Amino acid sequence: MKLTIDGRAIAFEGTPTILDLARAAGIAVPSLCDHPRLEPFAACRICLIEIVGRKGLSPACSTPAEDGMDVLTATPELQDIRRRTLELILAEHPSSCLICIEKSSCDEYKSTLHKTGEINGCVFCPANGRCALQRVVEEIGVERVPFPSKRRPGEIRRDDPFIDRDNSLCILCGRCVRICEEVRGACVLTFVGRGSESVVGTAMDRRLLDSGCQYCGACVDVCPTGSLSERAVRYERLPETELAAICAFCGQGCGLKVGTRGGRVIGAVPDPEGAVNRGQACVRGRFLVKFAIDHPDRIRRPMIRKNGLLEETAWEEALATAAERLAALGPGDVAAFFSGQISCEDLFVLHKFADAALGSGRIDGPWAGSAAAELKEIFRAKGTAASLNFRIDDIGEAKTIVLIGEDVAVTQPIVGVAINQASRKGAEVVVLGPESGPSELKLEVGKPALILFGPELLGAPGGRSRLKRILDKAVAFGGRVIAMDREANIRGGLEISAAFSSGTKPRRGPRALYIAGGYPKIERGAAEIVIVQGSYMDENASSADIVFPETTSFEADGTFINVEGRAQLSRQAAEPRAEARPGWAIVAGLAEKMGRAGFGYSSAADIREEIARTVPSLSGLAADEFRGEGVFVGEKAAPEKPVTGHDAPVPRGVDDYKGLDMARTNKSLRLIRGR
Amino acid sequence: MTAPLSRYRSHVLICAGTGCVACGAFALKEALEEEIARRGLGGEILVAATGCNGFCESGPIVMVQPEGIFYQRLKVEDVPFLVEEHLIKGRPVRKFMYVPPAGESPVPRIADIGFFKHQRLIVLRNRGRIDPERIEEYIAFEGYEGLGKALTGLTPDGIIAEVKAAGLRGRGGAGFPTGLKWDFCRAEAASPKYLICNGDEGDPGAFMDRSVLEADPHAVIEGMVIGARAVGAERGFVYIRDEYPLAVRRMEIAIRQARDYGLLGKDILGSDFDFDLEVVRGAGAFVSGEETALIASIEGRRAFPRQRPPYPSRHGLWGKPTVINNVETWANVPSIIRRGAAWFSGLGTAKSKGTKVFSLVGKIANTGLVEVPMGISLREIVFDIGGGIPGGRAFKAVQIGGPSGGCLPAGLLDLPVDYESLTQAGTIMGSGGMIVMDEDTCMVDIALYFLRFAQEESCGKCVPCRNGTREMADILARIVAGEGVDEDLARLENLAMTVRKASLCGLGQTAPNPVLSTLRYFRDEYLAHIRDRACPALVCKGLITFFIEPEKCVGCLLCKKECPVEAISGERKKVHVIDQVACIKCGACYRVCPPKIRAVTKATGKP
Repeated sequence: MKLTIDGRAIAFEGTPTILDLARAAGIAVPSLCDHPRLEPFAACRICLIEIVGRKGLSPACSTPAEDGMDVLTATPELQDIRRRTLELILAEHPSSCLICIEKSSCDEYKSTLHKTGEINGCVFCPANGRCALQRVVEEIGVERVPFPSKRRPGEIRRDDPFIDRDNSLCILCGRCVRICEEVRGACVLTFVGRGSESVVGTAMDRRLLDSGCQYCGACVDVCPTGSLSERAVRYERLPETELAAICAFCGQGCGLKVGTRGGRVIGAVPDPEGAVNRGQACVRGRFLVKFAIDHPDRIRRPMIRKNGLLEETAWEEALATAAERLAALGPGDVAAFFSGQISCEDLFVLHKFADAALGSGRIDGPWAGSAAAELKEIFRAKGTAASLNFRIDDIGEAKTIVLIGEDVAVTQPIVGVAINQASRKGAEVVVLGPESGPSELKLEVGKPALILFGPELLGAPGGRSRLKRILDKAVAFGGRVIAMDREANIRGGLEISAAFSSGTKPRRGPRALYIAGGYPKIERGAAEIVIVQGSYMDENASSADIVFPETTSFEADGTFINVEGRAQLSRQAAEPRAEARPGWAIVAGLAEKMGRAGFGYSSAADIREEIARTVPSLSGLAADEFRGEGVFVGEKAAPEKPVTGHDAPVPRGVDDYKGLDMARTNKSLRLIRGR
Repeated sequence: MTAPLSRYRSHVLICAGTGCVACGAFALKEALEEEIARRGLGGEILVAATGCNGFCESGPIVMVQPEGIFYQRLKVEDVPFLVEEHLIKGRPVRKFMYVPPAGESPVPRIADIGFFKHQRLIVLRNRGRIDPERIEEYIAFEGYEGLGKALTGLTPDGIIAEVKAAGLRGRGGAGFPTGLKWDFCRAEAASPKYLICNGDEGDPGAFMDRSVLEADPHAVIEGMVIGARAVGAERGFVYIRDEYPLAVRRMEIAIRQARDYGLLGKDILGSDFDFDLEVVRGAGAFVSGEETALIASIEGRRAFPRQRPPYPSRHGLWGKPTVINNVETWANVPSIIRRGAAWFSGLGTAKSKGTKVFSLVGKIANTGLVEVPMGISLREIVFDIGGGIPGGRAFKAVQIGGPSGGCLPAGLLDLPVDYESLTQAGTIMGSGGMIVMDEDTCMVDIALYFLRFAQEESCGKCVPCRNGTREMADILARIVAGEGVDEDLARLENLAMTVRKASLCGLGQTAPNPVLSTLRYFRDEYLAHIRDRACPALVCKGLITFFIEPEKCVGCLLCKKECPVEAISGERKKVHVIDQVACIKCGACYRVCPPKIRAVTKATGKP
């Protein structure tokens, strides 16, 4: 099919809108209320175009292209109407800076404070430089606003965690209201009032906190102006660099863009190109990245316990001391505990070190006993070739979804977005408690169900055996069961740990503990020495003998495998704080001090290359760059030995990152979780 | 069950439309029943409540059949006399009859009253005749015959062809051909399909739909069942604004009765065709009358209109093909099917067929509901039916189509009333509100009134309507306050064009009409406000002064006592004076000054 826009012939397939086609062809049609993730709204009227032969003007954003259309986007009449409509928008938006003739040289000369309570111009506005209205004014060219300025009454609302709301900057494009409903399914924001009294607000004008808000931040991200803003970055200038990282705060692996300025982390926003999240995030990834990186509990330098007290020391001394103490131990003397929140590279090197260099008696991690491990074990025992892998997109297309025990809005918010999507398309969504079994599972022939479960089901009495029966029933009805663990790299841990033998049989009790990357409290027992490498001063670190400062996931390159089985490379977005080093580098340093060969890595890429060679299911990691959609864990390489059976560590809260309990230490998150 | 109709020698029909109910119709009915029972006439005379009679000006209205005697403005204490004289002695009571404004002698029979004589009833054919709460009475007057014919004698395509041939156009305002709309919906493959009756009548001064719903709900139901058969719908909704409790109640009763009679529900009239209806109460916003907003409202969402196309016939309620028609449109359908397209299209003009119901209000002698054939002149409606302007004042303008319509001047009184002529003249047919204005009406003030209405009732979704109407209202407010400048007119026109061309829905696109039409026909009045600082109609408070003519004032103290701000000084038998600084121009003094004295006068313009 073909149409012409401003005389240019454009071929198209399907039913794109005229705005889509014009943009793809590089024809600039300004607009304010449209957004790629949202249904057309046609409210701002800035994208009005003319279709020759059709009565009246049509908004390009909501008009589907038809074969043979002759579209005009820039007739004098359209330009005139666009400018006048924009003037009407500016009549109620602080516009002094927008139409200031000095605006081009403002940055050079302005000496006013950026920090101000009432925004009356762009230079004071949190959205300055990223504002869609600024851009459209530039495109259309408005020199004066022929109406008296009408500021919407009311002060900036600052009574919520993380988010400030300033109605005086709102242009009522409705993006926030729509993303809250259409994409997130939260329906917290809504239009209130009528006519020129209309505002965006909440039911009964309550705080977001009291309106069911999950603080995913989607409204802030789609706001074209500074009306909704992240309080922490209100007065920050634009970031100089934005690097793509994978969020390690939970198991979904959202792509984030971490902004920095002068080496300082400003904040993070969801990456519209994130393979998993496509521009969505949750309260942790959206608002807590800077908090986690710059947290005062970060371990800054290596420490050694002297005279009963942990004292900071140099890397050299700490590594030498640790090497000396470890070298004195025999096979089976060391018990190792590795976090499920550290990268595949770290886990691989740690395993290799514990297994090959130390001959550890026990290597443990939260993947053992995880939802994925339990499911894998059931598959193994049945001898089926079923895979743990799935696509979150499959959930969005499902017709029947059963959720067992998991509060996905908190634990797996992006899965929640997919469920909302499915529900909007008419899917049936059933929520069952964690103690439910096959009898609660009402299934129908011909309606294959997608059954999602996680730690809640396994943690409840009889969880494992119920899971098995639930799986049997689901399979009998043509359904699928999906495991949803909460930590960032459970699937990675599962694959890597399977590649190593579980070490030498332990002697009576371990003589040493090696804890990496944050772990639930481990009792020291009879151990003579406890070595911890971690990012935060948690309960294990504070009782350890030697402590190594480890980077957070945002300060080093690393691969994480999410709940789907998707391996994604997270890029270093910030310089390591103080003397922190990547987990693998610490181990490599230690091995070197102990004189062990095979640890001469110079980068995470070296390790990935070795993983790809030695762990068959992770051969995809060999690719230099597996950005974009990531690679999936190999489907065939099920481990031969059982991976479950011993007690899994009691999982810490969903808001725990490497021992930092964000729900406890962050006042705002505490408010949200404490509701 | 009431006894069969034939057993009574007389029927006393009391109008129980909202207007008459407000004037005490129910108390009157009770009093009549008591009196008739007391006189032992219960078996001979039936007292019944009917739907709106239309002549709301004169309520409560009582008609005595079979003679067709028309009584107006009856009070409870008139009842014994009326019963004694008319019902017992057979002497109609002249003093309760209608007296035309110009005439001396009362007109006894309804058929001879000017208000009724010139009307042509299709939609309102059962008004004042049947009890809307009894389906039997509707059936007694050919009710559901059209449905019978549609289900047994016509194919769905045949029904649509008949409606198309009749030339019926949407009575909600835009005048889209109804048959075509049905055809579009029928052609859609998706199912289920829905029907909606739009009873969210919101124009100030309009009450056509309310009266039809109150007086003849079965006409709407019958029309919808026929429409459902034509397009293949299974479910329909009657959306009635919640401010019409009586209409809601009567429609609910009617739906129940129709179901009991097998005229709704499964297997209607044994034809294997299923259709059911339910009432949805409106959410109280003017914009809910816009079809896409109304659909959103039924779906339980905020009544925001959405961009068309796609039209509801393709993508309507819950995304399914939907036919949405106005109350009056549906009520036309049974007669068209029953009497045939040729009969219907014999009425009206080339492109506008049938009749149109108007609510005639404002400065007019006979306020009420009228149904006239398309093509009738405004003059006939205002003077022959409406009885002209009361109080000997001169006709100035008629506002048609509510906030979306425009004002037509005296020069256009001979304009034929049909869709095309009205659009050409700068107004719209709209749903049929007709507000008559006399020389004491300021057209700038009227334009401001309607614009404020549009501004307040704008849903707030699209920019031009939300902010454009406000900016226009602000300019008008400056003009009526005497602060206008010459450029304001050009600014108004520019804004009006932006709002008209860029707004999302019909509400916004037509909101400038009151301004544009008054600018077109009454530009002088705007200029007087701006250049002479004068309001020729002596209405705009910012431009008028009240003063007391010394030679006329008799010093009666009436105005002094009435003045709320004590701006009038003076003693008994001495000339009073108004302190212009203190005066708030409320007009209280003007109203109390006795007509034969007329010492308080209004003035405007530069002194």
